Amino acid sequence: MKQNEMWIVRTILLLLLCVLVLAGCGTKDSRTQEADSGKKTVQNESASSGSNAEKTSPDASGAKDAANANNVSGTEQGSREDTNARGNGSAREKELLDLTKMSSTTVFAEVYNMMTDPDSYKGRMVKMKGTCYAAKDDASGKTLYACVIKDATACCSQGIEFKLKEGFSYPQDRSTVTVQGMFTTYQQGKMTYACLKNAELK
Amino acid sequence: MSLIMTLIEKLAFYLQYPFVRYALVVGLLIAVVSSLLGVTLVLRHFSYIGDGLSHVAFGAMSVAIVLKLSHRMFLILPVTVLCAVILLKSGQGRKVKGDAAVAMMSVGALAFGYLTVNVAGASANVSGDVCSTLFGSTSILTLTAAEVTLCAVLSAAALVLFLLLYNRLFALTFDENFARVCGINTELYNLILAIIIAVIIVLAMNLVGALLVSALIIFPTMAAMRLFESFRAVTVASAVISVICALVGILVSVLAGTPVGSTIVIADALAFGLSMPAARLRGGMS
Repeated sequence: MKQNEMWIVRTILLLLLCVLVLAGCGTKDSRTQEADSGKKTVQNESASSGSNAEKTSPDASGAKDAANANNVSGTEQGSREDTNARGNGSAREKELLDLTKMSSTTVFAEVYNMMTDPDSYKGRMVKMKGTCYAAKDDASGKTLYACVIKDATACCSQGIEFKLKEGFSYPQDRSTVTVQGMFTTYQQGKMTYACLKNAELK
Repeated sequence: MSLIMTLIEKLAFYLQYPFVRYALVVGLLIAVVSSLLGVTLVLRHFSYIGDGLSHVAFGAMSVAIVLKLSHRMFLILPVTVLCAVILLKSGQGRKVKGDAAVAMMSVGALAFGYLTVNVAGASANVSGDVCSTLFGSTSILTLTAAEVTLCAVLSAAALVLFLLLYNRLFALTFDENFARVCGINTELYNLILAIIIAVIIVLAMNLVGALLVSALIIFPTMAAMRLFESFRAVTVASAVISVICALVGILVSVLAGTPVGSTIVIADALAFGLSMPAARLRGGMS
């Protein structure tokens, strides 16, 4: 009798586990980015213009993080599913992703997700608060600006380049900024970079 | 009351993000399986093996990063399983045994891993990456859907195996020699146990980082042992405590912006601390 009870308990636990697993597994829109030679990772230090920030900025770690932030990760993290982003279409795109309301831990995680799966965030208005890092691109001579945030332990940084609207002046290097703009990506050479375009300082 | 409503509203705000939901699902699954195995490990005096294997996994991960492997688990899991088998393999004539073997493997793998990523790693922020891996500050919040699925499947497999092999694990835990005399193939079940432990350790690294994995194994078990006496009761209580602490830890870290791994470990430690007066009140074992 006791063995029967054990089997019943085990079966119930197994069923509960299956329910939990099914509740957490996947979403409707599964997308897999192929891990081919063209993949880009957040970790890669690009030799292209995206990494110029690290060459000219005196703060190597901050500038390197800004450079890394711009190197959009393709596939090292594999597929990422965001049903909401795809399911609601243009409505979702217009919805503001306000990172200023989130804790440092979740902001870091969300920006990391934006870098590893940029397609899910393209077209969305993003508002974020962080430290402005400016770095000169030696190849083009342009100055790139990024808003960089740190995680809870401040040992890791993530950031996104921003391009202000016409008529707006860029903030000073290392100043705290709140920037809102549309998340998009662009190609430069073989690398894909992310940025907030038509951005405004709040 | 208004504070509670504010917290609920904030929680609802965060739960709309997929990465928070993924973290909760995977975190709770890992908490369950790690606590179940924790009972066996603590009773067999292998509490520190979690630390040793997590450091081995870190070393394997470092090699995978340097080799730019797209699926690091293909290297991390087999290496960790192999080391788990070596550490748990009982046998006479072994010159280096028990805690010494764990310690040697642990520090050696940690040093090798850190040296490897420093010398040959391609990351711009090696220290940050290493820090994040060792302490699990945001690892659980940056899982892809594929990783969530993999974690869920592996956790489910480990849990199913534990349930199916419950009686044999019970026998192995308390008296391996008697189990062998009774006809149980102890070598086989030790091998299965080693594989399960290795898989759970690799999963648990995502939750609390490589350095804090032992907390997931030890604290819930020790808290449960203070409150209950039978193996089954301790196992169930350990799982419940671990799940509650993981849930509280993840939610607090999300709301307060603290590192996830250490917040969960603090919750586990608090649970253990509370178990002592609770045991005295209950008249349980001290």
